[in-house]
Amino acid sequence: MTSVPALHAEAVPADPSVMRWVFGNDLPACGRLVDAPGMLGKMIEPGGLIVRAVAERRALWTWLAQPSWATDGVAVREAVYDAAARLNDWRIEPAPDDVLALVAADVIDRTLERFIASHGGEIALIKACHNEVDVQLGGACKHCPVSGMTLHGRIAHEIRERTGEEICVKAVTEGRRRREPWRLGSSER
Amino acid sequence: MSCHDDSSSAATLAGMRRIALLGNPNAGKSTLFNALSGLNAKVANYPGVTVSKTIGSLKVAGHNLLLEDLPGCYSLEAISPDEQVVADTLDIGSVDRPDGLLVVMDATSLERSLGLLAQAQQLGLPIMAVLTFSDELLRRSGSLDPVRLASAVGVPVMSVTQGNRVQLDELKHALTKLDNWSVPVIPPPADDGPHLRSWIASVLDAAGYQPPADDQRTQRIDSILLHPVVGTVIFILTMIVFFQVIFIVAAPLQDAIETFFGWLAGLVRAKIGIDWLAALIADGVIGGAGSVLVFLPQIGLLFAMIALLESTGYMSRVAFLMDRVMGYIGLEGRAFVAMLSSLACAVPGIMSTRTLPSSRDRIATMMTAPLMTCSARLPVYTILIAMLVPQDARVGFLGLQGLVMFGMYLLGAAGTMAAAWVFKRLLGGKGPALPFYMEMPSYRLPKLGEIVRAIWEACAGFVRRVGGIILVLSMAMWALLSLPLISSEQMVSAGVDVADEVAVATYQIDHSAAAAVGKAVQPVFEPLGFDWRITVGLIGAMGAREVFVATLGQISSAEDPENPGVDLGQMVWLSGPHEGEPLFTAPATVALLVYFAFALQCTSTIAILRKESGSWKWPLIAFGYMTALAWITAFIAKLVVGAVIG
Repeated sequence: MTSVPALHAEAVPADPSVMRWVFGNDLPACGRLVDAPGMLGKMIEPGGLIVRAVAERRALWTWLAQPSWATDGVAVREAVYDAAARLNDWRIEPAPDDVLALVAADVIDRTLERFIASHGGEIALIKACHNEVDVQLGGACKHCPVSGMTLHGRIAHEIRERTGEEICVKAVTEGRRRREPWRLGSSER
Repeated sequence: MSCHDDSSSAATLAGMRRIALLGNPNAGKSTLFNALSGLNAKVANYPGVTVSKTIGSLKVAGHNLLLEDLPGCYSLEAISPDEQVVADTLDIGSVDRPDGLLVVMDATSLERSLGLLAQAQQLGLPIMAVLTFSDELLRRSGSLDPVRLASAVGVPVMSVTQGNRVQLDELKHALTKLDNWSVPVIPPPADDGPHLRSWIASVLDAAGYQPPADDQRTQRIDSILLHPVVGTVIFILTMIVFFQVIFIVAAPLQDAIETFFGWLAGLVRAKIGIDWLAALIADGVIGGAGSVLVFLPQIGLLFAMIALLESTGYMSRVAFLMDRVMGYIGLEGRAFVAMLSSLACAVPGIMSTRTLPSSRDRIATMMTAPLMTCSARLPVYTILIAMLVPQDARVGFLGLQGLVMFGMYLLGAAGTMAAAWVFKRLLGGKGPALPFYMEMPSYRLPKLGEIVRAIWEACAGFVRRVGGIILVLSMAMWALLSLPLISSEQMVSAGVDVADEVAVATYQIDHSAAAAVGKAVQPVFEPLGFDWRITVGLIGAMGAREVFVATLGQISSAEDPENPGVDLGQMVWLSGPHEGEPLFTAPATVALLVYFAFALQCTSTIAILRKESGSWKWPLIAFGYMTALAWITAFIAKLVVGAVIG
């Protein structure tokens, strides 16, 4: 008897070709999804509908070649729900930098954006690799005595929660050009 | 603004964006609708069925919007006629399909609301979710993050708590930006199955939803009010107080109105030179419709009390208490809700049977709801009880008039239950058990605005009714009672003393067209102790019960123009074997009370039965069985009271 774990889809506002499937329990591992049961497995094969699939601790990121979710979304949804009932058959290869880049950007730009902005602060992601996240502080954060709490408390905590890795976040003074982490990810592929 | 031409108003409607409100029953949908549309709501009917459709308009920042309050439903897969209407309206091919949907979700029962939201998201319409009762969720130590909920469901979510103007204004402005509402890229799973359940669980989790703890206060109150014995006793006591209030508080107001109409009639008689016109206005209009308007305070109070019980949350406890009783007769709690609504009027009661999924239950409820004591019976009961029981008679500290009135309501309820039991048996026993939710809202302090609104609507409706069918019928009764005119010569030749105004008026009425009809029908009612005047009153009352009061008012004011408010208790038989004997004896009055309790005397009820059941068969059966029941029970009542008094 298999049951479907809690699961829903959330769009990623910054990139219309991505869909984030949020799970109620842990996926078998974090990293690149290379094989899955049922239709999802077929979709992630080379030349399939899904061009890239990355798992964080409780979410699966899927990319289409074009942002064609309106037409292909329901089919992918069915495939993900079916596969979710057999999580043990998922094969995930570790890709810590991919996962960290995705999650760090998502946490800073989406999850905590409102919280940071509500204090008049700005935090920009500079780099995320090798378990290290570099950010640049702006706005009210620059001289804020408790910005460290935000970095180490909220941001680092949230990223650790979602990647399952011991990471550290540090503020860098001079900004380098920001690179979109998911573009970075897809160019590496 | 002109409403004369249907096509032009249709064109105006076509130019406006329509937004429909969808939600579970009791999710706060109608409250939100009223808050958004103010007093600009009007009620119409959905084509083909008599499910009422409430449309309102809203003007924000130069945008005109049309709002539609859809009937409350748990699912878009229709099981009840109400849900069918919602499904049809939202169907792709529907001409009434709105441009956008507001899905109203009760934050304290979010799980059920999400199921409906998921179904609504399959429709391809712009959707905004409105969270209601967030304040109650917090009070009962639950929690929810609307922002995370919005990203999980993919549509905008706004929290609007009752009475919060700022949130309401934000919502109004958001309504004008319909085209910018976010749309989920992938709709949630459609079918009610594991995928949907998984989606709902996941969304609740993502939104950080903590369901509300059981409301301590509500639980404590419920442990008393829902107790099988204590709760029932409290319910009966509440009802007794209910009717005491209606009598005691209304009395001075009614006296004032009565005095006013007496003064007005006197003024009309004095100032209008043309005799027949003065008589038409003073006796026909004021004596007829005016004598019914006297009951305005009681109607207002009745509805105020019902609104009070409803807004505190006690009414649904009553339905719950009665669910057990309803079980014995084979009906469910929802049927009792229809019967409770019938306390106001059988028409909304019959209409509310649309929430019953089983057609057998629906027919049994529709056929018996008119036996419940509706507000139209109130004037008749009041007048008859006043003749039967002296105003200052008391049992302990309770007024006896109020107690007898309570007894009449009990009689109506008992009659309804018994008839429902019979109908359920005749229609073929129990059907399959269908899902049944009954909302048990937390106890809340009553909202003054809601009560004022209920009083206003009831009084306005009553005045409209008096100005419409009751006025027309009572004018017709006046004409029948006054025509043909009998000349003085005819009177003299009949041996009437033309100098005695009372004798002339009595002779005139006794030889009127109405008398001819009344006397022809009288043999039917004579065994009940009714003379032709009561018979005429009963015939008039077949259109609307209040006409009975109007007719008696006309007869008494015409028979004694000097003292139109003469006590009906003084009336005597005009002719026949009982000539000179008092008309309203205790047995005859009780028989009349019982007759009114059970007879179907209401054109509106017959019309709604015809519409809701789809044929003339059921209204005919209802009319037949209720009339027979009324006659037989009235006859028995007369015999019993006669035997007791000796």
